[in-house]
Amino acid sequence: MNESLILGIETSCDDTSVAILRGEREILASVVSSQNELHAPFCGIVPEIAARRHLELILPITQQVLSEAKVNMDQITGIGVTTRPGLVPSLVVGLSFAKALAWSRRIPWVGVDHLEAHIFASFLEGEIEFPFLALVVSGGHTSLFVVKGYGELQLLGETRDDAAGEAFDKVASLLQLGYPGGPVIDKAAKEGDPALFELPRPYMKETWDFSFSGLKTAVVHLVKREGIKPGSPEVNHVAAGFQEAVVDVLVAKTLRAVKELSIPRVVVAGGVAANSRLRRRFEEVAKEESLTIKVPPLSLCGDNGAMVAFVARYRLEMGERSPWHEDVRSRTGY
Amino acid sequence: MPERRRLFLGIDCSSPWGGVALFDEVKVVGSVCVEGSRHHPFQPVQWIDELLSSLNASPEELAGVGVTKGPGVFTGLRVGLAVAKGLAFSLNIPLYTMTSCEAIARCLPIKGLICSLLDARRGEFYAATYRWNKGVIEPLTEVMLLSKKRVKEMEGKVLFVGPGVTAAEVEGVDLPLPVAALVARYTCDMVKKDKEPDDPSSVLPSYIRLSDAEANRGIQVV
Ligand SMILES: Nc1ncnc2c1ncn2[C@@H]1O[C@H](COP(=O)(O)OP(=O)(O)O)[C@@H](O)[C@H]1O
Repeated sequence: MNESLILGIETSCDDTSVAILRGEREILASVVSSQNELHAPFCGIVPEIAARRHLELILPITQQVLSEAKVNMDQITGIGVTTRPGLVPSLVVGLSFAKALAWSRRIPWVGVDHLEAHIFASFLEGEIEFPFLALVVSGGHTSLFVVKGYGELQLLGETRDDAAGEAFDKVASLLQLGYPGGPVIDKAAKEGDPALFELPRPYMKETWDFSFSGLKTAVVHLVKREGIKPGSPEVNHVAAGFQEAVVDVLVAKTLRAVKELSIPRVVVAGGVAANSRLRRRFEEVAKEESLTIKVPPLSLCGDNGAMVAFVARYRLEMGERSPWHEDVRSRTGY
Repeated sequence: MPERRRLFLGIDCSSPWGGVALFDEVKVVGSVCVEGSRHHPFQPVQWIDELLSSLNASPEELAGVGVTKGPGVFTGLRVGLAVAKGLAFSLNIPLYTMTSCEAIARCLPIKGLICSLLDARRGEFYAATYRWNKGVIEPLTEVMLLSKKRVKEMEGKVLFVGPGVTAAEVEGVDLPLPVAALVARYTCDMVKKDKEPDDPSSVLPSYIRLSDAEANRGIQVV
């Protein structure tokens, strides 16, 4: 049997990404074009600007990926494209382009859920035994799932307000650290003392849901009360304290699920999984509690086409096909 | 073996009515025109698939693709261009683009001044004026963003045509026009005349307007 060659296209938010996956997990080429500098002046993603840039980049990046992989369109055996959840104007660009490629070459294609793709990004490094728990923490999502098999996701809980990444972005903006907030807070926190300022931990023990807007508000009050000036050393302490609070909550809730559901395997996924403190804490916990905790390498934490191709491969293999009238959705199906 | 047909595809997703059409070097052999809505967004690939199936045609028979590049509804423009880029690249066929204003004006080959009008929302309109001269269409203005008042002032001097006529409350022609069919025929013309096509990897919509975020903050991203 010939090995599959899957083209994965991801334009759900502000990164235009395309990749080619050979077989189960060999990434032949993967390009992610970040738009961070475009959105920085607005301290957040502007959907119309993101969609415009996706249309500019989608074909050049596809051409680049094909040429880096030394593959031509004739050899592509399947196409996967993110159709949900995400920013509708952005998703539409990737989906329309993917349909045109698939139709003109009669290539089987399938629409992919972005959260499922984030979770299975870890599989590009090797398989994980089912069932496992998956914590998806990104700019738009903070969700805890039980994953029972390929494409079998059961939502335990999700954020009721801000996503973890969103909270990082808002706090960074408040502290005038720049955009996107995740990496700059991560950096600033390394110079700060997380215990200097007391911040709340929204554990929400009675539910699997999360909530980070209260924590964000607490940071606002703290900055006001202490008269913390942008650029001062106190900023680092606030960043460290805030990051520690988020990490405490994410780790505690995940551990509680491990124990209550007796599932000793965890996958951490999404852009915030790039956070060095979060990675460190999950590493420690895995050792202490003898758990398998998988955090993908940095290159697979953020949005990328390879994770979309991975999900498309098993879905296509299971016989799934999307219809030409398939549309995008702002919300996940899970 | 019978000679392979050469078909030219036109795509238009720029206005409330979207469509695709096929031209076979002599005539329009099929077209689809659909009114879009929130719940039924434009599905040009589905339309193209249905159209070609009904004609027993295959994608390989496409010899060129044309698309309206705007101005119009931003998301619609991107749908049309993303599909056209994908087809041009994947089938290695030439791509031609045309402003939606010109495509609309081309639907009315008549004497006098023709002003294409599209609703830009918030009381503004995309407009451009054209004139036919010995079978050739000539633009007399750029594509502009005009207030309703400015549009009104032109009443009586031009024939308004396009999906902005009703909203502008001026006399004119506001019917679903065969824009995609025109684009398909234009594409055939361009290919036959060996005209330089657009580069699918760099051609972009004519948005005319900035995003709201840029307009409100007075920042323009590059
Ligand atoms: N080192 C980090 N620490 C915390 N958050 C981070 C880090 N790096 C990136 N992020 C956050 O990840 C988010 C982007 O993740 P991504 O998976 O691309 O989001 P989405 O899938 O929602 O588009 C942003 O909110 C960003 O601030």
